[in-house]
Amino acid sequence: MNTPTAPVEKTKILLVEDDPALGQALALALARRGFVIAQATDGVNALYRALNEKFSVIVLDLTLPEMDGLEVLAKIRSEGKTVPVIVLTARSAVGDRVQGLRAGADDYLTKPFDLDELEARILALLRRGGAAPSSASELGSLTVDRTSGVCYSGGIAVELSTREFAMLAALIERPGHAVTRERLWQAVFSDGREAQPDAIEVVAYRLRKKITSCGVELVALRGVGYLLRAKRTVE
Amino acid sequence: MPKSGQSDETVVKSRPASIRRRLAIPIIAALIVFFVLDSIALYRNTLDSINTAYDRTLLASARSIAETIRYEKDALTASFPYAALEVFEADTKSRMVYRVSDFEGNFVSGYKDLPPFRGAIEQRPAYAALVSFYEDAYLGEPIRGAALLQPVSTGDDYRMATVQVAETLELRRALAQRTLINTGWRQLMMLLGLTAAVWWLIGRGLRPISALRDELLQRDPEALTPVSTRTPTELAPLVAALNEVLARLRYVIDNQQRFVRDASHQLRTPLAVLKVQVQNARRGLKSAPDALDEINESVDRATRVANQMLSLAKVAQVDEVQNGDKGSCDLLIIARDIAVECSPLISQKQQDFALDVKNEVPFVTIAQDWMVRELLRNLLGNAIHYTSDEGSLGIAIDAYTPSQDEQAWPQQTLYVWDSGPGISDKQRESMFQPFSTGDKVHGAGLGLLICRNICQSLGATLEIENRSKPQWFDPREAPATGLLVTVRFG
Repeated sequence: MNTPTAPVEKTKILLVEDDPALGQALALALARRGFVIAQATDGVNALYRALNEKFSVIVLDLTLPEMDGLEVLAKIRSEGKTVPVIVLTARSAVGDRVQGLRAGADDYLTKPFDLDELEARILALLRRGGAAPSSASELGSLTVDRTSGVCYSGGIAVELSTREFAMLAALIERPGHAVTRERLWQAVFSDGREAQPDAIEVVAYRLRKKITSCGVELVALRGVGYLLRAKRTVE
Repeated sequence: MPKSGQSDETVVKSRPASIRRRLAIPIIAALIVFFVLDSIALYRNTLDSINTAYDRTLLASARSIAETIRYEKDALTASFPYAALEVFEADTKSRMVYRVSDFEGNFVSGYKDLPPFRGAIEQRPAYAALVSFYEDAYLGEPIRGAALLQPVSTGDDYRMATVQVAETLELRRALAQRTLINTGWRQLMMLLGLTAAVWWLIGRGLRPISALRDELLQRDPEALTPVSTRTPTELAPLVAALNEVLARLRYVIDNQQRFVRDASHQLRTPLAVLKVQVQNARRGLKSAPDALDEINESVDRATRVANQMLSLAKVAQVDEVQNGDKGSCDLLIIARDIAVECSPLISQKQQDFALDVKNEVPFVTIAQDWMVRELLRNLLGNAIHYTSDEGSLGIAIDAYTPSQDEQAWPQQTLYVWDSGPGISDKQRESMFQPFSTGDKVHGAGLGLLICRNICQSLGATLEIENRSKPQWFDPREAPATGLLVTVRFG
């Protein structure tokens, strides 16, 4: 841990949480999922480690002794560190969210939260930074491999256009969770070529036809966006 | 609340004195004005009486002079000795002068400096003589004079000579002033007496207020029972208003107490359930996976309860602290965010969701962003919960400018509809009651209360009705049944 020059084989996460029970439980769960966990229990220590060690992600509680989490975050950012930060807080509602995101947080989770949700957010941040331990996602019988840009269904490649693949990759990141049209548009038409306003619908229509037999469903939330979910097995 | 009793006390104590002053000052001022006016009138009257009395003397002296007028050799003579006037002088202070004028008003005898009488003789004099009393000046001194027309025989006929007798005014004024000073003293004494009486009487009249104050101060600070002191009719409205405030306060406090009671029950129940579930699992009464599923549900339930309580408290806090400063937010952006946030639930129940908008006006409204989010989160959460699997539900936003005026702020309307069972009349009665929901697993039953409080805080109206008539956002294929919640922003 104290050899920053050594090649990073595993993803290192700094977990800042002052509650020992929650800290230990989270550390255990995240370590099980293959992350290397470093822990800090107060703001000053957290800031010191964040500035002096190299982490792939920092999971930061807001209510901390010695130094408030938001202050830690602001100082990390003012030192020019771009490490992704997920803020955890028991503080309710959205006022904190705005404040936290302004202070430079990349994502935000309100306590209590789901461990799967935390892991999904960490993976999403790692992918954004290009440091994902695995670039493949699975749902139903589908496997989406981002590095090769190929989608398999039960081991057999599914033929998808670049745009269809981009949409599927964006949707499979968080199964069962809607992705807005705007974000899909950015993901799908990032090549900069002109597209009709309803082009997203056209891509979605084609994608749906190609993946309908793969145990997944592409669902439209009209006026909002799309989501991908595992098809319910009829009992 | 009872704690503020200390500061109220001082306010109540200073009140009676202030009312007394308020009443006494105008009354005493009116008395003073009255006495001053009365004194002026009295002075005038006294002066008139003195004039009447002394005018008689003037007339008598004029007559004496007139009797000495003779007409000889085409000329008038009056042989009145100057000293004879002294008989008529009342004292040494005032001085009498006279003048006799001929038919043309030329000086015949007497004091030349006394100006001739120019006025007209009164048509109806108080005396049996052609006499007029007048005021003028003699050598710069004010005088009062009598002008008497005396018929004088010229042989052929009678012609009128004029006799004027005038007296300086020192005496008359001195007399009137003495009277004035005498009555002035008497009136001053009377005024002081009346002032004291008024002060005392007002104090006596205000005694019921002090009695009321005493009762209020002696009350048990916790007591919110109506005030029962007998009060005069003037105080009855005050006591009635006070009792009404007390009644309202009692209602609010009762509600709060009930809320705290219910809230502690709601918070403790899932914890108690959790404890039992853990103990059962330890004793091996349930398999570990089953027990853990149950425990997970209990934790979710406790979380929902805690979150709802906190939202409710936060809305109440904002209501108290921030007035006016509301900010603005875009309903469309919020609706999309909340739909995305709730999409896992919608997906889980395989429901058909739609977000519809009408009109191309920007959906920006004056409201605090987080409040609208909380509102919509609750409403959509309810819609998802009460709509069966594969049912349809949605959010719709409409904005219209109420008048032709393009400057006018467009009014926003937010609809959340579902295809659930709707609301019965019985549920409608209790829908804003905390913890009234029949479904203990879904939430704490605070959702609609939170929504109502948010709407109140935002100045928006909240309508909850069963879907009956078709709306523009209804899906073509789905029957129009279920619940429709309409939020209209100011």
